[in-house]
Amino acid sequence: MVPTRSRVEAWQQTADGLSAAARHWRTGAGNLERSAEIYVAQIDTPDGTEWFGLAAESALTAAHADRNEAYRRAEHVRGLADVADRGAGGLRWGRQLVMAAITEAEADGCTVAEDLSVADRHGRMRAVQEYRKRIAHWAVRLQTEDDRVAAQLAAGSAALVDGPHRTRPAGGPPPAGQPPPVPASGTGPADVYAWWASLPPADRARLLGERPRQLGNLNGIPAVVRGAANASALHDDITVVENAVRPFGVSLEELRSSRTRVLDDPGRYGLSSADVCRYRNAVRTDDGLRQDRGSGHDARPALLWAYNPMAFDGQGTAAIALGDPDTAANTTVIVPGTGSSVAQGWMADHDDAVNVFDHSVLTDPDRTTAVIAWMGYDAPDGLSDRRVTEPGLARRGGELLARDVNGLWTTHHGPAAHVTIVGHSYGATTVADAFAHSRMHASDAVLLGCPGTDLAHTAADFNLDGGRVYVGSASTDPVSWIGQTDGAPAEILKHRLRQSGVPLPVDAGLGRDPAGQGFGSIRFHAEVAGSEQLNRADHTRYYQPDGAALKSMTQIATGHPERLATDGLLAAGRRQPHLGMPPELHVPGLPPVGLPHLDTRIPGIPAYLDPERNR
Amino acid sequence: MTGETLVADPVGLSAAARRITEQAAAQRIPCKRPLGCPEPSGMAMARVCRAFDAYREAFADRLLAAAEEISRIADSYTGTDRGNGAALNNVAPVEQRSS
Repeated sequence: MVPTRSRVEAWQQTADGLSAAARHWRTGAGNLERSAEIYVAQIDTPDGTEWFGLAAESALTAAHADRNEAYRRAEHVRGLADVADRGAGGLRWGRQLVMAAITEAEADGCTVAEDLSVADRHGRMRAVQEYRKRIAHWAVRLQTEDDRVAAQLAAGSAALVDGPHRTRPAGGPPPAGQPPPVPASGTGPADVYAWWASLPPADRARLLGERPRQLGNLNGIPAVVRGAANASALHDDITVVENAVRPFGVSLEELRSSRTRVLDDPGRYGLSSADVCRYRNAVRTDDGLRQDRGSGHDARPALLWAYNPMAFDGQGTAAIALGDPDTAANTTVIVPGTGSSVAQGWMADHDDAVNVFDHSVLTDPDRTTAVIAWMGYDAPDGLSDRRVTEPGLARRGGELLARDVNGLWTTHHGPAAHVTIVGHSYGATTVADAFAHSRMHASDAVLLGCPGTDLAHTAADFNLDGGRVYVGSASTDPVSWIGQTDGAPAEILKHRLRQSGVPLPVDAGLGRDPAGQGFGSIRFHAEVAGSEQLNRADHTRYYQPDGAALKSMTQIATGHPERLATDGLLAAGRRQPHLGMPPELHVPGLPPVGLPHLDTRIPGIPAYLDPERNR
Repeated sequence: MTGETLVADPVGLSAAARRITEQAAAQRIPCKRPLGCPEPSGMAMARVCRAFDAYREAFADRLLAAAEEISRIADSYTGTDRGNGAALNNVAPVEQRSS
């Protein structure tokens, strides 16, 4: 919704209020720490006298714990002061841009009304339209910036009051009334979006503080709000455990170490196994956020778009967005495959999303970019997981993926978005099923190292509205060969694959190979430089910087697929062996003898001839 | 030494209780709040103010509880000392008893 002109003008007051609040919070934090220090000092040596004994020991232990908690809260409040300061700056800048656009229109003889509509007494429709569009654009950006700041502060206030160590006096008065109920998880994104837009700011802030886990994964909630809600939930999951073990003298380094056995007996600290599960997945997700965000001048905007550490029996789900998918012109969702989960460390063990984001920004610097690293389904645990040969997880995962991706269209505002879904390995099968079986709507699909497309038998089954299915399959990637392998030739192929180190189950293969000529896809170069033989490692190199696959992928993701042809990135599809005759028979001493045309494929044999192998 | 030797100065403990009570009172003074702002960020800002004040209020309660406990301990030492003095007075030789 576009704010009114008087609201835009009054935003200066909000920005000034935020700056003042930041100053007050820092002062309050300092005073809190001072009081805590005096408290500990007085217990330690009451008015400078000595105090020993069991009572003294017990009082000092409690005072230290209270002081540590006070310091933690003070530090948290300083963090919120930083948010308020940065927010104030952003709002001033945003307001300035709206006011500049209004001034420009008025200087050109137009009038700008309270609802920011533009009129021109000379009837210059194009100019009016242009000014109106520009003013509305900046006004919506200002509102979005305010929502972002509000979401961060609301989440921060929730952590302050409703954190793991609640400081609200026991038996104190409960908050007045209940917050409005959050729509059920299956509610359509359009209904959720309308519900959220209808809430007064006070209710939104309250829900963010009190229901972050429900809001954080609800499609239809704006991305920045989801990010703030999930950050709050993640913060809680970490601090519950850290605060519980601190009195036992366990350092954070020791706690976070992958070799730690500190949490083998959670009951010792008053924790449950669920607390530990949430903590471990929260730390892994937090590591991913830090890694993807980077630091310094090149830091990327990152938010936690989805987070459920207990999903799938503790495997966890999460999605990190680089950029804001609600405003980005180009959004790419990457879906991992076998052996990936939050618990197995996928959020932090790869640069796939970062590479796609950085290359997309370089490829199309004039349009905004977002990349979502989506770990939202239960992928097979590894090649030894029996489920890797079955499409069940892909179909169920495809359903979840479709829900999330379709929700993106609802919350997006601004110029039309271009959304590309990239699936790797079993994730490519999941992407295919999301399109073919679960009505996922996106602009283009990219399948990398795909072991078969299950329910999609051709590119047409993806039902892309004007978009295309693109395929990256290195000729040396063994997994990309196992689609629909049956019959004697397939057994020979599987034998070769096993020889190359891929422990293929007997019934490997998840459907058609989308790199085949007859599939209807567009194949791009994805060969691994210097690799000539089947190599298991080549299955993991599609996102490598400077690789042909990443270059092709980013051209597609930024809406420039025509550059695949101009940049020489197109590859021929795999094909079946053909039976044919040469057009002429050359017998020495005789003129050429014409032969009847014969060129037919051999039915039942997979497309195992790969022109890319000769590159 | 702790847990084995009992050392305490009731006067020092009472003074400490007063100092801690002063800090509790200081924490009960609410943070300054900017003027109300109608935007979501303004509402969220007010929420942080309330949350921070609520925490400081709870911390003040904690300080007060600690001060009261120290005060009680100081009183019990003083009371014990008085009681012991009176009891010793009773068992002292007759000629040393005060009249």
